Amino acid sequence: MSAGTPRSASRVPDERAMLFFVEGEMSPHEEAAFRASMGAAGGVLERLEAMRRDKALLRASMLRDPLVPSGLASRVEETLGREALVSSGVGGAGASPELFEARSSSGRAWSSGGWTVGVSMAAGIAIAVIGGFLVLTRPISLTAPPRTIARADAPPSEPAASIAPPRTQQTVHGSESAGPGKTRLLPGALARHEVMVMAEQHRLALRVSAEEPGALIAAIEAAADDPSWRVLREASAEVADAIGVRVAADVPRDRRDAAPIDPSWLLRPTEDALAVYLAEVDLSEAGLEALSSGVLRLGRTRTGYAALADPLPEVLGDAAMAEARPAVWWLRHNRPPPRRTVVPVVIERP
Amino acid sequence: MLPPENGHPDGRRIGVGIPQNRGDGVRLETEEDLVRAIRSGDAGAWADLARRILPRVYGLCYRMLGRRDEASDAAQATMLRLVQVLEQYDARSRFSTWTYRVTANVCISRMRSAKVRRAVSLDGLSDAGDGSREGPVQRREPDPRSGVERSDAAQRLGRALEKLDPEQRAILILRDGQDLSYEHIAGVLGVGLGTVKSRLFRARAALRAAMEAAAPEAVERTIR
Repeated sequence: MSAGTPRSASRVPDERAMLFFVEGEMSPHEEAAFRASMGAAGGVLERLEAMRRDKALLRASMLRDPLVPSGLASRVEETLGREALVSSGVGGAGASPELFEARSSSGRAWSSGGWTVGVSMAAGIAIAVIGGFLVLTRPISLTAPPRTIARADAPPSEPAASIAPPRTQQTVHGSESAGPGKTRLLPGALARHEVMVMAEQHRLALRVSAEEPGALIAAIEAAADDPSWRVLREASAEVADAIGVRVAADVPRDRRDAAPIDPSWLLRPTEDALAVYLAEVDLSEAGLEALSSGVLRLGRTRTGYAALADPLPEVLGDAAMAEARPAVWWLRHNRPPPRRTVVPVVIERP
Repeated sequence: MLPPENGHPDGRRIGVGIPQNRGDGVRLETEEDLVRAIRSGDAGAWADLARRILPRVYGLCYRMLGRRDEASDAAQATMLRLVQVLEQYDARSRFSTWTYRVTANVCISRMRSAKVRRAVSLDGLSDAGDGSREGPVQRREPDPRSGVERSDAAQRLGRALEKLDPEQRAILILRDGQDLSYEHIAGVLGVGLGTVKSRLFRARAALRAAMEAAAPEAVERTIR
């Protein structure tokens, strides 16, 4: 250290020289010269020596690295999971999902169908971010609109006006009559407002990761007789391929295959799936929320809405889309049917 | 879940600074490797990276905020922030520098907004409340004071630290608590080397002034 060393005993040295002294970074020769130069700067040397002692004390006091509290890692995992999307059904099928608003920047509280919203601290954190969608705090209301899960490869039937796809400016991978085209799932969780936008464009998919995927799939298929759910069957490999995922030949159905869910799974793209369903839901926040929470309640899962690169009707064709027509709603209501959309439900490995 | 301290549930052992074999033939030696793996779609790399950096993140949060609950919240927020802005990491600096920067920013922001002025943790001199610490504690320099004097001095030091601006507290903790070089601190704070030295000296001077203001008599004794 030589830069900044005082040249005159009558001058107070510059900050850099004093810092090197305090930091103990001077050679013995330099320090001796420094001390000599400080002889006439009354009290400064003493003060610098006190600062040096402060430094030693501070360093000594911080020798130990504080232990990470037990439970913090799991809290971080939860936060990352919420960030990555958003809904967590770790409590199992019988647990009430939690509801929080994952994006608070808008300043409005989430309220739908009489549900109240609980904003947790984790939500507040997750909010600042890419904002996930929602995690439901309560079981689905009995008054929630009906929903069906329909097979994606069912034979075409007459189109339903309510799900007629809007023509967008998106890239079209297949002509209207040329059969299924190709698209892909985009990685990352959608923010709340993005979920609705994608739903309007029929570019929405629900990604599901389950600790016990076999059990979840069984639960989905067993839910066929549930008044709130109508499951026909699993989608074909061709339909899955149309949205850019490969369906595994075998699904782990043994509990021994259970695995923890990677909290960041939504941040990565998916190419492999264990199963794909098509769900028809009301084109509303409540409907989309109900779908997500409904799947959550079926098992130890995480769910998250993701975007498709292209509108689904342009990939599957209008006829295939029409297959997922409302099955229950028409029987119950005299009012015009709600607008609906079709959402692929992709069951992934944990 | 994040993997336990000794590695993944699947048996992969993870150690800071220890070259890792992720079991799939990919050798991940650095945090930068893990970041690259994440960007290429390796989901498992997230858990590895989180487990590696969490102690560092929490440590800085704890030292800056002084309370375990606040440090935990800040660490959680920092981890989330790191995920959000990972794409902004351009690999021009070490990933550790980048994580320190994000962590420090989160803590400083919280200190400003919440006016965190509670006791700064000086866990080497008094019980920080974290329980026992496994492994050796390496002393970087001898401390000639008796335990009683050290404890008293540590308390005064803690009170003095509380009075500093968040930025001054941050630079002192980065230097003395995290043992970072000037260059490393410059990277963390995003300022030049000369600025780091100037700020560090002024922070030390401010600390001394706060010490004197807190206990002038005791300071008098130490000067004599």
